This record gives sequence, C-alpha cells and structure tokens, in this order.
Amino acid sequence: MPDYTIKSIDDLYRRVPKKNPNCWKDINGKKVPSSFAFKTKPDEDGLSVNIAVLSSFQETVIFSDLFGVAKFPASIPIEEGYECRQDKKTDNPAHALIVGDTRPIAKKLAGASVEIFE
Amino acid sequence: MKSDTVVFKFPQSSNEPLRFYVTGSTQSDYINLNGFSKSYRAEASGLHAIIYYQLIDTIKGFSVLRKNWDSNNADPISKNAILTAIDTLNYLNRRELLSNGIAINIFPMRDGGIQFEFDSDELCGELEINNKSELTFFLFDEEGSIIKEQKLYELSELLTILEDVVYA
Repeated sequence: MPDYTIKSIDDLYRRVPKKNPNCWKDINGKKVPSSFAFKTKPDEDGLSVNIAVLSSFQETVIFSDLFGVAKFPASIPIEEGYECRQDKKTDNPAHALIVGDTRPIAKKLAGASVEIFE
Repeated sequence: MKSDTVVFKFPQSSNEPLRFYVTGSTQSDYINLNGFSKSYRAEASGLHAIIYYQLIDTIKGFSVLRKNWDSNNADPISKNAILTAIDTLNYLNRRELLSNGIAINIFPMRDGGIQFEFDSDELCGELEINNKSELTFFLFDEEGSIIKEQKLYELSELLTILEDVVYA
C-alpha cells in the first residue's frame, strides 16, 4: 500500500546510462537524455522512477561514473492521464511506477528532463 | 571520396559475436579532426567521413551490451537491429545527410532495438529499428507529442520524410 501520493508538483528521477553506452545528447548546449530511456518494454507494467522528495541523486544513480540522473516533473505523465504511484521496494522506498505503456510520452519526458548532479 | 562500405567479415551464427570492419582508411580523417578549430572549414566529404565513422563505432559498440545494460532490465541489442542500423547509416551517408544541418544521434533501445534521433531547427524525429529489423519513423512537435507515425518498408521513404520536413 503506497504511503506517499505522487502529486503534480513532485519531481521524478530516472537513471540513464552515460558511459558504455552514452545515452545523453547535446542539443544547443543542453544535455538531453535519449527518449529510449523513458520507453517501457512490452513486458513491463510501467516505467521505474524514484520520487525525488523521498530519494537523492546518490540513491538513484548508484554508480555515478556509469549513469546520470534525469529529473522531470510528475505533472507531465499525470496531465497525460498516466497513474504515477509509489511502488516501494525493500531496498528502495522511493521507487515508483508511471503505470502503463510510456512510449507515447517518452519524447516529452526526455525533453523536459534536466540532468542533476550530486 | 572513401568507400563507405561495411561488410561482415564472417558469416553470422546465433552465438557468435558480431565482427565487422569498415573498408577504407580513417587515418586522414582523424588527422583532420585533430586539427579542427573554429576557423577550420572541413571539406564536406571529410566531415561526412568523421561523423560516419564515429556513428559506425557507436553502432558496433551496441553488440557487446549485455542483459540489464541500463540497470533497468534492458535486453541485449539484436544482430538484426545492428545490421539494419548499419544499412541505414550507409544509406544516409551515401546521400550526404550526415552533415547537412540535421544532428543525428544513435542509441540502443531497451527492447533490443536501435533508434536514430534527428534534430534540427525544423525537425524532431526518431527512426526506431526493432529487434526484427522493422522500421518506424516518428515525427514530433516542439513539445514532444507524436504528430506522425509511419512504418517504413524502404530506406528511400526515410529520405522522402526528411526532405519533406526540412524543405517544407
């Protein structure tokens, strides 16, 4: 049972590879993650993210030499009609899911993302 | 103009890692790259070659990605997708589309496919190559909403889409 309700004002974190392979591109001087990182696979119930207010860069990135962390507003999937719900794991209470097939909004999520640092 | 032919050195079997080589030396191009500066005006063919070989290396690198390479349970990249991505890159290179103002980035996909991302002032598009080598092109508006989705059966259809958008 979720004990945190994700609201539009929340931010969400998604871990994106930055080395072998580098999945960030430079668009007009801004680092933007590839949209693939926000696309669910057919066998997935939703997209795994961390709730920013319950997590941190370090807890999300795990290996900072291999991954970057993209931050985007929960308002984007919520306004597109997606359910965002906490999906606590034993080792990660900040874990959440954007429920459903996120491929139609992947480009929006990528475009709205900013890279965060420690 | 150097040859841009990519050939497979050995027949592929399902368990064999991909091995390939690119015909033509890259040496002169990398000498040019080392001397690159704001005042340097590369010949179109040289710039094409630099971008081409960088992108070929990128695609080749996908062949070593193992299960969970993104730490979110991504699949290994299929050989079919890699072969089709190389075909696609060769096609774009032959038509000198690699340095004509459209930024092209190539990424692995979580389901074993590969995607090309096209960015310019006039264009925001993606070409998805799935693990069965099927091609789908997506065109986006400025906010990232899909405004066109089209399955491609010939690479010439990609050229038509790019030209339609850029020269509209």
